[in-house]
Amino acid sequence: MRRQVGKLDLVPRPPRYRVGDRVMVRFGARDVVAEVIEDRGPIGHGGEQIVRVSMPLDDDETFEFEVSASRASPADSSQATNVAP
Amino acid sequence: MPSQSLLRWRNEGLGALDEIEAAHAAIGGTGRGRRYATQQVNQAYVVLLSSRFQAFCRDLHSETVAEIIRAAPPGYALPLQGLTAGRKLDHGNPNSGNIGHDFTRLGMDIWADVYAMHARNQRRRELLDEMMEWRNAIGHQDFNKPRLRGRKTILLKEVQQYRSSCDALAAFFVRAALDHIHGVAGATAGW
Repeated sequence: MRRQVGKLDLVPRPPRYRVGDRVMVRFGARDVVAEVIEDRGPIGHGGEQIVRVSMPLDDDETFEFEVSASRASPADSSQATNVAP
Repeated sequence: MPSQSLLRWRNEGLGALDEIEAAHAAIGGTGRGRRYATQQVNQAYVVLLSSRFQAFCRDLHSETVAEIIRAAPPGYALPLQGLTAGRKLDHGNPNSGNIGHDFTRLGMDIWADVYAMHARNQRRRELLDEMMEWRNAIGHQDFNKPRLRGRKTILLKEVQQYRSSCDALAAFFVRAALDHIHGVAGATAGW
């Protein structure tokens, strides 16, 4: 049997970042370049996009965390993975 | 403004589960053939319910962290971002232990919080973990679990009870998370 779910709607908003994009995020006292590895969808404040990003710590290890789209900016392709303060 | 996680659960999540129920109702025939077909649907229903509830719990965790970060001074970005690293809900089932573990990292005792809101939430937690037993048994096709008491088939009404329980827990989790956000980031923070 089919049930009417209701009239609630997610705020429709085109995603700012896609999987594979390189973004600059504030990480402590410095800005770092990270890669978007998952679009978590519009689950942030007011329907803002949240993305999961991966940041290399060294040759073997990465650090993955989530960030709101407004706290990231597109990284220039020429920028190194980790950027000095 | 409501929680985006709850909106997604109520719309996308429950909408997908409605499709499964529609598929169950659409199965024709009678007798053993129909019982076999509906059992496959019931088992798929348990697995889908589990994955959708996992997505909700993970979304709510992310949403809660984002709201706390939003209210925090910029210098706190580093430790707060770490709250979404290495979560159990990123890879594991939404059993009560994994949910409790991940929200503990935010300073919450989510089960104690929802117990305090409604006495029936203890029973809902038991049902959630019972559902996880079914989910694992179905996923691995290993029904030799004490909690299943030798059963290999699950009834539609049982899955519907699990679903109802998950939906109630979702609403209580959102209330608990919002109370926590208000506590750490102020009364105007949150959704």
